[in-house]
Amino acid sequence: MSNIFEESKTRAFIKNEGVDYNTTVTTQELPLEDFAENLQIDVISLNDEDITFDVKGIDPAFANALRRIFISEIPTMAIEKVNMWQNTSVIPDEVLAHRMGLVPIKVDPRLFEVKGKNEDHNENNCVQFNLHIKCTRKNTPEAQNRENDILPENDEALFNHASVYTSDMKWVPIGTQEEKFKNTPIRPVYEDILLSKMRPGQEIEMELMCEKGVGKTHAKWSPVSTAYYRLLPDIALKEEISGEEAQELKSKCPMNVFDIEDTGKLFVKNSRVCTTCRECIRDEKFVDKIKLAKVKNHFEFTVESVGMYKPEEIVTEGIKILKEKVKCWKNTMKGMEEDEE
Amino acid sequence: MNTPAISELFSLPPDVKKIEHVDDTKAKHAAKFVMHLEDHTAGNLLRYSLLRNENVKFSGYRRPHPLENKIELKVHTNGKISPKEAAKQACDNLCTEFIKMKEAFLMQVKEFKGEGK
Repeated sequence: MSNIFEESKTRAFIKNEGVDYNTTVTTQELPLEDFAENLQIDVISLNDEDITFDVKGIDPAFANALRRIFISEIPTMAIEKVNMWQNTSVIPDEVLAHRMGLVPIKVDPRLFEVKGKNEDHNENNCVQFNLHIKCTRKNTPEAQNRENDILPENDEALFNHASVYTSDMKWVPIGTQEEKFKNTPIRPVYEDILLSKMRPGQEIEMELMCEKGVGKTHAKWSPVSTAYYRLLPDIALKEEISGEEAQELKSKCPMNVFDIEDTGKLFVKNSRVCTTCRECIRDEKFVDKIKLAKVKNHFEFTVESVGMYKPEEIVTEGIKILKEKVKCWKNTMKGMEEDEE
Repeated sequence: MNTPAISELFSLPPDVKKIEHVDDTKAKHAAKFVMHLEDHTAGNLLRYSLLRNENVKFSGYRRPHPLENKIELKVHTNGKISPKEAAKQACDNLCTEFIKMKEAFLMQVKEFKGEGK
């Protein structure tokens, strides 16, 4: 019995319905040396778009603070002001303007400042794009024959600029920006985002002003498409399972957590892939044979970047921003003391 | 209609302090900190950090109203240190932890990239 109690300090147990999670905040001080010793980070996968990494030895508040910062407080640049001179396309002005806002812009936001309330756009707080595009009929006999217009799939063959893409946005350097960004021209992250469809005679002309902002104002500034963490699953067999039962259990698991040894004994092959579907403990006869648990201080983070930052940069920026926040609180509290004296 | 202006997320009126310190009138060694422009990120983080201190008897936070951009953090200590001291220690600890974490993370990323090549 005491064994389960001890184990419940580090594990959350998955039941057929719900989870047994005992919150245990140890009131003894966890010295900083211990934190450094207990902290263990492992990168599981990393590519241009996303990163998966394990963090072991932190509390849920710490993990959640990081996640919240990734989503809502890392600054990026996004289109905020749109001057629309001409829009005769099917998309109404305000919808098109909103759509432009959601286009991710590839530029390092750390090189820019947040635009003040009474400030004008200048080279330090703004990136400008122009989009001027007109749909015309091509000069071919097929295009000239209007009967071909009926089928929308002909559009690309018959008209110039039947589709407007983000690649049609032209960066307009302000001031010294051309020199500053010579090696890393500013552009939309993806060149093939469809902005609108047009037919001959229709035209879009606008000026797009990007400003620096954070995700808590509007999601278009969020540098991540998803950022989440989950607890690492810990699966073990409480007693030996073999023969027919082993086969049954192996085929039950949709993630292939279990496998069978040559001797016919069941073993846990890969517990990480478990999605907590509980399929294996649905049958009464297996409930007491399998230990399904989660390690309470082992977090598996997945951060998927929209493209403005590299995924690993999002993590380091997030930690930096949190650190600055904490420093600011400390300084304010120090300041309070001086006020009182 | 009732949504607060976005600027309220980022700036305080000139007469409001970022953190207000209110002593508890009913208990000794207890205090409330009203932190403006902060949310659950700060509240929960500080609460956990405070609870790890053995001199802290109680710590908790609440967000009084979802449209008001502030949190209240309550701290009750055993008298060996003042609540404010405890809060400062909590901040200090967090700061060091973030530095350690960043270091460890960067090292692991480097290692991972090295392996890939």
